[in-house]
Formats: sequence, C-alpha cells, structure tokens
Amino acid sequence: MLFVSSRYLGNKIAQALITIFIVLCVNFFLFRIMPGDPLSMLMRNPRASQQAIQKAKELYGLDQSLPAQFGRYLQDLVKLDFGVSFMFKKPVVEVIGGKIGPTLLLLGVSELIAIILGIYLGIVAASHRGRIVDVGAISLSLLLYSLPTFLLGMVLILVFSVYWGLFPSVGMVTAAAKFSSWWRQSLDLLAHLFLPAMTLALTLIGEYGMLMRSSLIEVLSEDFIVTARAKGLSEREVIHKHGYPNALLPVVTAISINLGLTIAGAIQVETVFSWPGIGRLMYDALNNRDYPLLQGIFLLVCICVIVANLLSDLLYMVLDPRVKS
Amino acid sequence: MFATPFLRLSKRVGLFFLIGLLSISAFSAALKVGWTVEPDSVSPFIAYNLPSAEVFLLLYDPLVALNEKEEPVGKIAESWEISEDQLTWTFYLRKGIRWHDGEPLRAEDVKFTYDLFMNSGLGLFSGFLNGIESIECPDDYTVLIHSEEPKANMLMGNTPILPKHVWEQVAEEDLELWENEPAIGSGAFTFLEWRKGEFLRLKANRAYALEKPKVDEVVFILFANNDTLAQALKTGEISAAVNINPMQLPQLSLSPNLLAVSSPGYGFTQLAFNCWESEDSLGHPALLDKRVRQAIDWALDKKAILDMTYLGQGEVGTTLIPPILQKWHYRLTDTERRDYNPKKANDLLASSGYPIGPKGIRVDPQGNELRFRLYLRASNTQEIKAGQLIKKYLQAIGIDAAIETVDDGLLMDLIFSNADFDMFIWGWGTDVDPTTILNVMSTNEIFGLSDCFYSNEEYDRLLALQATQMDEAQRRETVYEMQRILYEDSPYAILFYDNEFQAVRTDLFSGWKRIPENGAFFFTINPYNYLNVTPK
Amino acid sequence: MPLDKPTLSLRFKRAFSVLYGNKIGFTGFLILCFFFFIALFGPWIKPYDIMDFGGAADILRPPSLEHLLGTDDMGRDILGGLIAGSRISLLVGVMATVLSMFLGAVIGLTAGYFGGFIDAVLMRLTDIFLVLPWLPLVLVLAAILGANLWNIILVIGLTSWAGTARVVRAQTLSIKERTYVERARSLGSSNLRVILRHILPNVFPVIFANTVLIAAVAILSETTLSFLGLGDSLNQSWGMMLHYAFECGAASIGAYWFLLPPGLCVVLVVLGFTFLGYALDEWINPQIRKR
Repeated sequence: MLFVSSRYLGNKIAQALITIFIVLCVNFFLFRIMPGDPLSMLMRNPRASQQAIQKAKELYGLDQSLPAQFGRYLQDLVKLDFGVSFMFKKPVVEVIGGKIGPTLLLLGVSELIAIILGIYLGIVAASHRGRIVDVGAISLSLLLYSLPTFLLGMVLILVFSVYWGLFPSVGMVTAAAKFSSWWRQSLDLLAHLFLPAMTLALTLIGEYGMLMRSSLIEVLSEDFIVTARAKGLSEREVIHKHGYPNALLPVVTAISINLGLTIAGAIQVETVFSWPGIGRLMYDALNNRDYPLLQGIFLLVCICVIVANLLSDLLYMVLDPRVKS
Repeated sequence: MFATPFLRLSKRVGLFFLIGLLSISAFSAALKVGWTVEPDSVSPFIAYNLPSAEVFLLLYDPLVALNEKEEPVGKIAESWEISEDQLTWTFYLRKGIRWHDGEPLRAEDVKFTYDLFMNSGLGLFSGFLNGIESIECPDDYTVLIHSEEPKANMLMGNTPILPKHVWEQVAEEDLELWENEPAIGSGAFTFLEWRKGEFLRLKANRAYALEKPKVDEVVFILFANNDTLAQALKTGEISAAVNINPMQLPQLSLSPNLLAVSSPGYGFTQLAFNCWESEDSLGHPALLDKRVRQAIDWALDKKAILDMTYLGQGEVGTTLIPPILQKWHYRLTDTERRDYNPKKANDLLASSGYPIGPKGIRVDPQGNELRFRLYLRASNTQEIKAGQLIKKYLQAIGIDAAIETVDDGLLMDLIFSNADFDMFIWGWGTDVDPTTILNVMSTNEIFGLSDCFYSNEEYDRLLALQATQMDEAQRRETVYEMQRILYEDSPYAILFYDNEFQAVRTDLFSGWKRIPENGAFFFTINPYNYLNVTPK
Repeated sequence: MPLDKPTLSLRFKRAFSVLYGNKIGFTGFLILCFFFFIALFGPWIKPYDIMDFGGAADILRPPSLEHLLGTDDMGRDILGGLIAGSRISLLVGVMATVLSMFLGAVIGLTAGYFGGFIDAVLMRLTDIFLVLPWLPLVLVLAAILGANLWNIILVIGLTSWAGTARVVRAQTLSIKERTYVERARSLGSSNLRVILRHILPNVFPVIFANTVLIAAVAILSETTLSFLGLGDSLNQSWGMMLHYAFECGAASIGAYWFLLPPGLCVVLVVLGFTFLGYALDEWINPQIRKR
C-alpha cells in the first residue's frame, strides 16, 4: 500500500512540476506580446537620452533577443530573482514581499469566517433537507455565489461606512495615526479589516455551505453510517461522530482547490477597499504595465494555486482511505 | 435615498457598540491629504507630473518663490538685484540655512543645481533655466547669474535647490534612474516615508529658518478612485482631498464641516491633432490642413461637453494659456472666436475641397475618407465622455471619429515615440510663467514634449523673443500674438479649462485659504495651506 | 434503436418536468426567459441611442415619470441603458459560452475518443487551464489584447473551457465502451461520424449543464473585467454601467438608481443561470436528487 501511495504521490508532484514549467513559459511569452514599448512606460520621459535608454534596457534586460531574455529569465528564477519593478524601481521580490502580509491576513481571516459560517449553514440546510430552511439556505448560498464580489463590497461600504459610519472603508491602518498602545493599534487594524474580510467571506460562505450540505447528505447515506445506526448509536451521536468528520473532508480540500477563486475575490476586494495587498498591487501593475511585477505576481499566484491543489490531493489521500487503493 | 428608518435606528445602536473601537486615542497633528494620483518620483530629474511638483514645493525651497499675490518673495535668497544691462542677477543668500541632514547650504549648491538641470535638460525645471549663460559664486552666500539676453522669468519656476554633497555622488548617466529616496532638501518639510501605492509622509522641519509649519506631519494618501476619496473625507480619515469628483461637489458642500470648492485650474483639456508634416508621420494627411482642424473646432459644442463632463464647472476653451493666468491669457475677440456652429464647419469643409462621399463621410481630394482615429485614455472617465460627445459632433459634419480607448503608457508610446495617431484627448498643466506651456508647441520640442508635432517659424521666433522681454507689457503683446497664431492654426482644439475640485475639513483644521481668492487650497502657486493650517 | 440510447426529445421532456418540479430551477428558467425576451425585443419596447446625451439639467436625475429609473451621468435614460446593456451582457455571456463549450466539447471528445498520447497531451493542457487562477489570467489576457467586446468574449471563452472538457472526456470514455458504439465502429463508420452520431448526443446533456454554469461565469467575468476598467467603454454592458456608476461616485452621492439597477440585473441573470445550472446538475447527477 505504501508503494502505491508513493507512486501516486510522485505522479502528482511530477504533474505539478510540469504545470509549473508551462506556466513559466506562458508567463514569459505572454508578457512580451503586450502592445506598447515597456521602455517608454518605464522612462516616462519624452526627453530621455539615448545613453539613458540604453542603460535602462540593460538594467531591465530588454536589450537582448527573446530567447536570450528567456534564458536569463529562467536563470534568474532559480536565484529567486524576478527582476526589477518598473513602477517601484525595486526588486520584484521585495515589492511583493511587502504586500504578502496584508493579503495573507485578509485571506486567512476571511477563510476562517467563511469556513465556520459555511459549515454551519451546510449543516442547518442538510438537517432540514427539502424544507423551507433548506430552500432558503440554498437560495442564499446561490445568491452569495452569484454576487460580483466588488458589488457586494460597494454595498457593504454604502451601508456600514457611509450610512452607519461604523467602519473605515479605505486601507489597512489609519494612515499616520499615533497610537497610545498596541491594542488600540490592533483595534484600528481590526476595524479596517472588518469590511474587506466580511465581503470576501460572504462570497465564500455560499460555496462552502453548499459543499457541506451535499457532502453531509451523501455521507449520511453511506454504509458505515447505516452500520453505526445499526449498532444502536443515537442519531445525534451518529451525526457527530461519523457524519461531520467525514463530511468535512470535501470542504477542507475545497479550500485549497478554491484558492484561485479566492484570489480573484481578493483582487476585487483589495481594489474596492484600497487594501494594500497583492491583489491591489496586481491591479496597479496592470495599469502601469509593470511587466516584471505582473510576471512576478502572476507566477506567485499560479505556483500557490498549483501547490495548493497538490496539497489538497495529498490531503485527500491521507484522509480518505478510498483514494489510496 | 438609501437610509431607511431601520438603518437610522440601528445606526445608534451600532455606534454605541463600536464607539470604543474607533476612537483613536492620541490625536496627531498630521494633515492628511487624499489624492488619486501620486508623484512619479521624488527626484526632480525623473518626475514630470503635478503631484511631484507639489511635493517638491514642500521638500525643497527655491531661491525665490511667489506669494499669494504672485509677487516674488525670498526663500533661500534673502534679497536680489539686477544689473543695469539686465544681464546679471545677484542673489544674496540667507545665512544659516541647513539641509535636512544638517549640512549647511552654500552658494555652491545653487550653482551646482542650476548647472545640473541645464546640462541634463531633465525634469520639469530645466526649461525655466533656458537663457542662463553662467553662474558664479564669489562667496558662500552670493550667487551671480549671467545671461546673454535679459531673462524675463528669472524669478519664477520654483526651481528646487538641491544639496551638492548628495547629488555630486550621482553619475550623470544615472540621473534618470536614481530615485532620490529619502530626498534631502532645505524646505519646510522633510522626507519621512513613501510607501508607493499607499502614502507619502513628510515631517515638519523643526530647523526651518522661515515660518515653521503648524502641523507635525503632512501625509498624502493615495486613493484608488475618487468615490472612496470622498467617503474618507466624510468619515474624517483625511482632512483634505484633491481631485474630487465634480458630481460629489453639491453633496459635499452641504456638510457644515466641509469646505468644498470648485476653482479655476492651471491647465486645460484639449483635442490634439497630429500636425506633423513629415513622411514619417503616421497621422491622417487631411489633418495637416488647418481648415479641417478649424472646421472640427467649429463643430464642437464645448459648452455642452463641459456640462456633461464637469457639470459646467470650468470655462470653455479658447487659447493656449488658461484664464487663471490673467496677465497672459489672451481673450479672443468675437470675430476671432470659433463658437459652436456646425453649419460654418460644414461650409468650410465643403469649400476647402472635402465633399461628402458615397458613405456619407467626407473625402479629401486624394479620395481618402475623413475617418480619424480618436485615442482616449481608459483611465480618465471625463475624457472618455468628451470623446463620445466629440464623435457625435463630428458625425454631424461628415467626419467619422473611430474611438479607441488605450492606457496612458500606450498612448504616450504612440504619440511621443511614433507619431502614430490622428487625434487624442488629454490635458496640460501650466506654470505661473507662460514660457513652459508656450514651449510645448515649439519646433524644438518635436520628439520632445510636443504632442501634436506642430511647427511654425514665426511662433518659434516669438517664443525666443518673449523670454527676453523684461517689460511686462511688451512681453504680454508677444505672448498674445503667439496665442493668436496657435488659435488660427489650431493644432489643438482646446475643449475647456477644467476646474480644480478640492474639499477640506473645517472642523479638524482652521486657517484654510484659497489661493488666489477664487482659487484652490492645494496645487496652487505656493504651499500656503500646508504651512499655515492649524489643527483644532 | 438501442434501448440504452434515449432520444433527445425525451430527454428534454424529462428535463422540463424535473425543472418544473424543482422550484429553484424553474425560477432560474423564468428569470432567464425574461431577460432574453428583453434583450431580443428591447429596442422595440424602448428605443435607445447610446449617443443620445441629455443636457446639463438631465444629469443623474432621480426616477420620474419621464425616466422611470432616472438618468445616468451623461443624461441618458437608465431603463433604456439597461435594456440596451442586456444585449451586450447577454451577447458576451452567450458568445463566450458558445466558444467555451465548443472548445470544451471538441477537446473533451477528442481526448476521450482517441485516448493515448492525444488524450495525455490534451488532458495536461486541461489541467493547466483548470489550475491557473481565473481572474489574474483573464486580467492579463484582457490587458494584452486590449479592451473591446470581441476580445473580452475571446478571453472569457479561452479561459473557461477546461471544466467542460474534463467532464465531456469522462462521459465519452464511458459511452465509447457501449455496445452500439462498438458496433458502429466495427461496421466501419468514420470516427467523425461515430462521434457526431453516437457519442455527441449522449454527451450533450453534460455539455448543456456545464454551459449554463459557464454562462453565469462569463457574465460575472465580463462584469468584473469592466468594473476593473478593462471593459469596452463603447459598448455599454451592465458591467460598464457599474463601472461608470462607481467612477462618478454614485454610491456616496446617493444616486442609487444608477448603481442598483445594473447591479440587480447582473445578479438576477447570474442567479438565473446558477439556479438553472443547479437544477440541471441535480438532474444529471441523479444520485443526489433521488435521495
């Protein structure tokens, strides 16, 4: 059995590596066929001298042929060198590094809220199967799923920020505020985090809820549940001991499989709320045609998603006995 | 409106609940200004946009600046005099000025700065120094500036004086790439922190020799759009906002804690034509005929365009220099003005040999249809609206405008590097001195700053002449004549002089002043409000 | 005709009865009917010219008898804009879905039917598209190609076929083994004929269910792209209306009539597709339905 699973594992990892390599190629060539000359963007200076242009070309590696640039690109990647951002004139790694924290915070908190509420919603719906509560839960989930994230964000701003004045709508901290203590600073952060995290969480709740619902319904009809019932356990015990743990499996794996979708939400949320994370950075990089930065972000996001997929496969393998054989 | 009674009721409950959460304890005397465009750099050799110029006013002092009445007042220079032949200026520097890093400021710094700007020709300021021949520093506190011809704009331009000990370490070929962070100046504020895409913090310079700022910090906060900007102003996250949306002005004006103003701006928005008479030009040949350009100008209902884009806040465009520069703006006579008149436009095109072709679009004598590409910047909603209206007006005179929305970078590439356009819309900001904006249209600036590739010998001659005319009345006549020439040749159809829309919180800070009287608070000729507003 | 091959019309009859029995699905169906009706006959119901700008006095007027849903930031009637916008939004949705469905079906059928090396290569490609983060990819592609309607359709179509391809392949694999397909192949029918005559009709329900979900995604994508400033500013979809509403600060100046109607339309149509897709999914995966 160990042999089979290690082969399965190796297969999965190999697939992920191939995907990453193809993403690397796509990532490189896609960004070279954009219209417009990146240098004129970079210099922003109609009077730039020939020497300065040449120097900038060398600095950003734009003076070489495409294959040579590709070679250099691969070499640099190995050294974790993603080039220099046109916009920030700093190494891309540094620029991205500075924005990862806020995004991780936003994603982490939103996921947490979404998982807890989503699972709860799913359980409620499943245990009232076919009744009005169930239909309501399904409709709510579908509604949340159908709502463009940015629209939800705008509505939340309208209600919670503009009309009720409860939460700030912009940024991660009150800029340039001086705080008397660390907990006040944390409160400030929490206040800023509330709306963006709620927006992102709400868009995820629908999905997790539906997954939990169908998963629970499916699990409860499995043989081992029937066996458990036959053993004389109470319905409550059956659901708690055997229903939930097994039903959670697809939900847990969905979190990592869904990472791509969550990131899409984060881009919109960060744009609407001016949250200083990767999503907003991507939007800015896109508008400023900052190729190296865009490439870096795109690559990072792709690799994260690929790795997350791989992890969910592995997780499934570990948790679900059926996959192993 | 949105607020139902239910919302209002819950508002109180919610407020009670969260009152502790949001009351940020220690009050900080930071003036927080929200904007939607941030500087392109804090290096005066790299920066070209207006926010950069605004930040330079705070970080760096010039020799001489302008006060609210546009009169020169000494900053680094305490006093100055001009020789009888008007060719040598002597500036006597204030003693005891120190750079932000503690080094003393000397006459050598001034000479070094001017030489560096003139030699490199880079940045917003080098153009102001045209005509300077040489600079001498007889001692640490005296600067002599010689010019071949009298130099009319010697006291204008706010050219920042840079520390020699910092900049001499930058190789000349690195000048266009060196970002100058943290910037060391001698101005009223010191550079604290710049998180690009988020905020730029400046700290009051406690060692400043002149009037010290009354706030501890100025923080410029970047907003993704002007909707969130207005919201942040309402919630008090910021105390002032520039580039707010004209649509929001009426509502913001209602708030008792807010002072929202619409004031004439130092700039205009234009429809530019590709006027390059060269085989390399990729523009439509019919646009080289000034009668076509004039006809387009006749055909545009600029008042309606201004109404639709800026709710009528501004003035209909005519000549190159905006009316806020009262000394220099030329007011066209009624006979010169081309007011909206589609019939005249049609007649002019018909009589100039552009009959209506089979598809209802006019054709030029070579048989080319008058179908012009019209580039619009995707990032600017107002310009896109104007473009759609222009398309409609041109339809009425048998010209087809094919709108293409592009991003700023691509448009700059199309214009400045390739002359690959027919028409586009964007705008220019101007200085108090007219030379900068007049210079844009000179032949020298083709493949420089010229965005319409216009060339006219007489105009170039007058441009050089006005720079040397020390008598203001004479110089004004020259500048008027130049504006007449441009209006006649019509390389731009200037759509409107758009207003600035700014708003400030009067409950958080006091001492706000509009500069000039009907002007704005920021992006004016001097940094009065940053220096003088007091936290309440 | 073999017994294990139900006719298409029978399938649709069954579909309709399931749909009717399933309230959620039927609601979605009704919503979509309404919007497609509006899109098809809108110009006759309420003529609208995108160039018909009002004067300064017509800008952002609240709802009135003359303008039932008020006017937008250029003085145009919002109801008219919504109706005109429904054509653009649904056009993007339908065209992108057709493209996506076509790609998904062709790739899935080819991979499943021929197997071997072709299958391996195509499935690798599918996996990559499945794994690539959707919005970043769409944003980058839209920025590269430039913002116009056909590019947006192309981008959405190119990025959304992978799910369909995978399901179609799985279905093809199972159908390929059935006796009548085997027989057709042994009788010397060409591959194309076998695919079109015997496999496609059986795979079709799967494609159809996916199509409905992809349409929802396509409309959401278009709206999101437009909102982020990568939409076609000359063809005013609902997404573009939202973009302009956001740009002119409709939310904070209380011009709800500019923000809510297009927002509501997007949500309703996406909801319609999702409801329908949900019902179809239950029908096609009867496992859940029957229990």
